[in-house]
Amino acid sequence: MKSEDTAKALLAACSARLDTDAGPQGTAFFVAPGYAVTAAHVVGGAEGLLVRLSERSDSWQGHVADSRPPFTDEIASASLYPAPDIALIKIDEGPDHACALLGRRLPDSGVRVMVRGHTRTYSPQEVTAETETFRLTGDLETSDPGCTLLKLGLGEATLGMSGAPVLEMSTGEVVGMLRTTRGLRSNLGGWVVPADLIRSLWPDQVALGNDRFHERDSRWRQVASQLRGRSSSMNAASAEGGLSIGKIQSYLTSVITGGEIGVVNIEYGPTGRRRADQGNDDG
Amino acid sequence: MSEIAQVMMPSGDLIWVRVRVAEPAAADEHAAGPADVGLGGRVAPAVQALRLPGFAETVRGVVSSVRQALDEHQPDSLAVEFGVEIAARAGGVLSVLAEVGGTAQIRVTASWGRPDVALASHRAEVSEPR
Repeated sequence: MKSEDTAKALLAACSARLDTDAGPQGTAFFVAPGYAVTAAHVVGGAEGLLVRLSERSDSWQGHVADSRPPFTDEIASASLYPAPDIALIKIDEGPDHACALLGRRLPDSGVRVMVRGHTRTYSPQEVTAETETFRLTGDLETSDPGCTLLKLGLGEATLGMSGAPVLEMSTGEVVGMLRTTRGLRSNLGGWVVPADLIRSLWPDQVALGNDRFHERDSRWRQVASQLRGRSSSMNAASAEGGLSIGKIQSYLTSVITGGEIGVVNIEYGPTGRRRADQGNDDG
Repeated sequence: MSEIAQVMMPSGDLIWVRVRVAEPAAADEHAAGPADVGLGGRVAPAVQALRLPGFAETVRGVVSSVRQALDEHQPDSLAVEFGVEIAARAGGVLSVLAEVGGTAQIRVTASWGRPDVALASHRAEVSEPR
């Protein structure tokens, strides 16, 4: 399995299309059990607004629990939603889900990242999932002294990608959330709210929830570890005793096809996915 | 370019409407520079519902004008068709006569049951002030 395929599968496991009563609005991704994030402008900064997330056959009902910054009359007439432009969604109903492995450090300049959003690129009448790769090109200070955005380049950030997870392809970590394009119909890239800022905004719901999820379920970390190993050595993937490509594929298949990924461990064997008891993941 | 916004009608009812943005917007596909990339544009929250000034005046003005115009002909029935477009401007929304091909169109149909009245229908088009 190529690293691009692994990145796509990880992104598909944690991201979802976001709808309101007014129709599709963009993308969101799960950051902790029962919590997802999206761009504040996707939900109008409207705390309490009901939203629906969907990915393939799964769907979740939730509401906007917090918005940074919250909506004001000044924002209504602003051309861009002010920084950081991120909203926390509380999931009220729906199946268990995988959570993105949120990074703790700023990625290095030049690293390759992948974004997965829900767009109308294929058809104006239809919203479909779309991935795009970028390079991290720098950062951008904002009027909020606590918020420095990441800049992406060499890829097209299109309508619908707001709220999409940005995954560093060499580490498997989600380094942030896409919020803005630097130029529509161009390869100028976009702006990203960094993962460490997302963690710091909601230390209990997001940072702690994310850490606990990945302590309990180590499979994403194992896939991430495999990606890091592959980036340093093309032969690492086949290291004896390590996580085999077959196991990675099985895991990715399991998270894509749904199921209680958050609380139920998966045994990997020749017959594919089987459920096992709760407890530590066996990799 | 259009946006979804919640608007309070003069009756007090809240409705979701797709409003035309009258000024360059962040997500205008033809605009250069940074733009937020949500699918539906800016969604105004329910608690900040925009009021809709001018809606009742627009409807009343059109209907009153047509009735006055045909008053001397005393039609037996009168139908007036026109569109009202809700346009977003900085800090609020406005209701304006809808444009069709560059003009705001009002279709008036008047009828008489009496055979001595020749005029069966009347149609008027007015240009929207720029």
